[in-house]
This record gives sequence, C-alpha cells and structure tokens, in this order.
Amino acid sequence: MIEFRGACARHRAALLDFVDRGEIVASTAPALAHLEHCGRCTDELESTVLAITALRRYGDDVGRAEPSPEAWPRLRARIESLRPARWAIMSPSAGMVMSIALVAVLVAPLRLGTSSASSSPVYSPTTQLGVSLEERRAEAAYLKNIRMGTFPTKQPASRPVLTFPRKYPDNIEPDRKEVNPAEPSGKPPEAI
Amino acid sequence: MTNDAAGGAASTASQKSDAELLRRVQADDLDAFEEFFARYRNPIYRTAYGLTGDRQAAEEILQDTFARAYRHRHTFHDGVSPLPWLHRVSLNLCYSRLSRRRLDASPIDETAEHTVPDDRPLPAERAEQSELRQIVREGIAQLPEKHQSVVVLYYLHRLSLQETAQVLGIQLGTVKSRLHYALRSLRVHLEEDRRFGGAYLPAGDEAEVKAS
Repeated sequence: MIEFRGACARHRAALLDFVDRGEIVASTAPALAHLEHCGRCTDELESTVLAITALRRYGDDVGRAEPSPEAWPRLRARIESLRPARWAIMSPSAGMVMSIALVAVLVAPLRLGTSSASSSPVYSPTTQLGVSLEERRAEAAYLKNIRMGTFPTKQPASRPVLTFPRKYPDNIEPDRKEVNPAEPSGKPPEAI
Repeated sequence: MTNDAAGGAASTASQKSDAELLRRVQADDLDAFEEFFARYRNPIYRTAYGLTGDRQAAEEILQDTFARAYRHRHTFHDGVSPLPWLHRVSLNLCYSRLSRRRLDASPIDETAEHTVPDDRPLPAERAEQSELRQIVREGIAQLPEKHQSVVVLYYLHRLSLQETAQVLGIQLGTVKSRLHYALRSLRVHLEEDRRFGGAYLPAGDEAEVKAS
C-alpha cells in the first residue's frame, strides 16, 4: 500500500476519535490500517492514550471533590445581605409614591367639594347665591350702621336695591312678617 | 457508558422538575434556591477545582457563581437547564482569577490530600498519585483558555461533546478540533515532564526516564 505524504495527519483525527470515544466511522478502518505500518503514529497514539488516561484519572479525583458544608450557609448569608440592599434602593421611590398617594387620598375629597357644589356640605354663599362684591359691601355697610346706631331710614337712591334670592329647603317659605325699615320699632337692634 | 450516552440521558421528568424549581427560584423562594444550589453545586465546584486546583479558590468561585445566579434568576427560562449558564459563569470566573493571579501548583497537593478520599494505603502510591495530579493540572494550566475549558468540561467533567459545545456556545466540530489540539499539547507537556512516569509510561520508557 502506497502512503503519500500527509497521510499521518489525515488519519490522526479518526484515530483520536477511535481511542478516545470508540467512534468507528468510514475513516476508521483506513486509519487503523495506516497505524499497522506507521511507527510514528503508533508512538504518538500511545502517548495520546496515556494523556487521556491521565486526564480521566485526574477527572476521577476532581469528581470526588465536594464543596464544604459551610458553602450554603455562607451563600445564604450573602444572598440575604443582597435583599436589604435591594429594598434600600427601592425605598426612596416607594416612599415617594406612598406619600403622593397619601396626599392624594387626603386632598381629593376637598378638591372634589369645590367642583361639585350641590353635593358639598361646605357653605359658599358667594358661589351659591351669585352675590356680587357690591352687594357684599352694601351688606357690610348695613351691619356697620346697625352697630353704630346710625341706621339709615332710607336707602340712598344711588345704592342698588339688594335682591337676595330666597332659597329655602323644600321650597317652603316661612310665615314671616315684613317690617318696614322706614318705621323703626324703637327697640334696640338685636345682635346678629 | 460514554460521555455522549451519559449526556443524552436527560429525562423529561428531570426537565419538568427543573422547570418547577426554576419557577420557585424566580419567585424568590430561598428554600427553592437552596435546592437549586444543592442540585448544581458539585459540577460547578468540580469545574472550578479542576481548573484552579485550589479548594479555596473553587469555593469562592462557587459562591460567586451562585450569587450571580441569584441576581440573574429572572433570566432563566423554563425548560432550559441552567447548568450551561452556570458552567460559563464559573469558567469565566476561573479565567478572571487565574489571569489575576497565576495560581501556584502546590495547593493541589495539599488540598487534594485532605478533600479527595484516597483508598490506597501506601504513602508511596499516594505521593505518586498526587504528583500525577499536579503534572496534569500544570499541563492543563499551560493550555490556552479556550482549550482548557474544553478539556475540563469533556475530560474532567465528563460532559458529552454536544453538551460541551452547548456550554461553550461553539460548534461540535470546534469542540473536536480544540480537543485534538489540547491533547497534542498535553501529550508533549507530559512527555517532557520527567515526573510523568510510573503507571503512565510504558515499561521501556520508564527505564529511560529513570536513567536520564
């Protein structure tokens, strides 16, 4: 059989697969035939087998090695130390969100109250009755005059007539006697 | 049983239990993580120990690997074994450690004596075995990193070719090629080492080594 140069290199892979993993493929038989008359390949394969054996024996030794029993307690302590650190990172943002939520919960009813007047228990005569600023001034002046005892007998013509809309619950108007302001009763004014 | 046969033996039951365990781990169940650790600690520790030859370093790499696993537990997928991910992380940590500090070969003697049970009673044989471990580890250490990882996973860890390729994220042919070159380098290293004798040299060669 005539072997060309480079035949050794060509058969090495097949020989290695054969001795290492017991793989028998199409190229195995020619490689073994080459091995029979190639001393160089035989020596090389022999030392390769020794290296593999040494590796596997070392692997057996390593394969019996086990971590110490303290490995898990150490790791657990490390993991638990990671957990508070994670919460510490999250707490500022979580705290901010919680604060905003709390403020929103506390403030929301008040803000809602101004927007829906009918459902609010808060009394707001300015918005409810449509009383203008001028009317409020006239009212304040009237009260002041009463306190000072200078109650005008007649309203000046320049002043606008106060027209307060009367609103009573269930539209029931009370029986009440209107007093003519032009004829004072002579009694001292009652405190309002 | 060959490596390939062993590698292909992953049953559906174990995959299911893996998925269930991962779900619990992802739900931040610390007891489940303890189970996860118990399940995968040995292969990771042995990979680290095989590469570094240092028990203390292997312990630290084990801790670092699983601490990372805890931090990245949400990235694990159901139905996919986390072992390749753990192997990759531990290998990278080994390389980082080895590149920072080229470990001396001496720890393998001391630690292996204490941690690896040795049934053989004769001190001379134990010493020979210990010396062999040191030579092989030195041989692995002088390989390029990419060859080291293939050798450790395939020969020391007994993964199949397919599993080795999966862990390293390379083609099957690349694994074979790297194994081929790694073995050639190791063979040359072992042949050059005069301590590599005893049972690992042919009878004729042993006499030559002693004479030299």
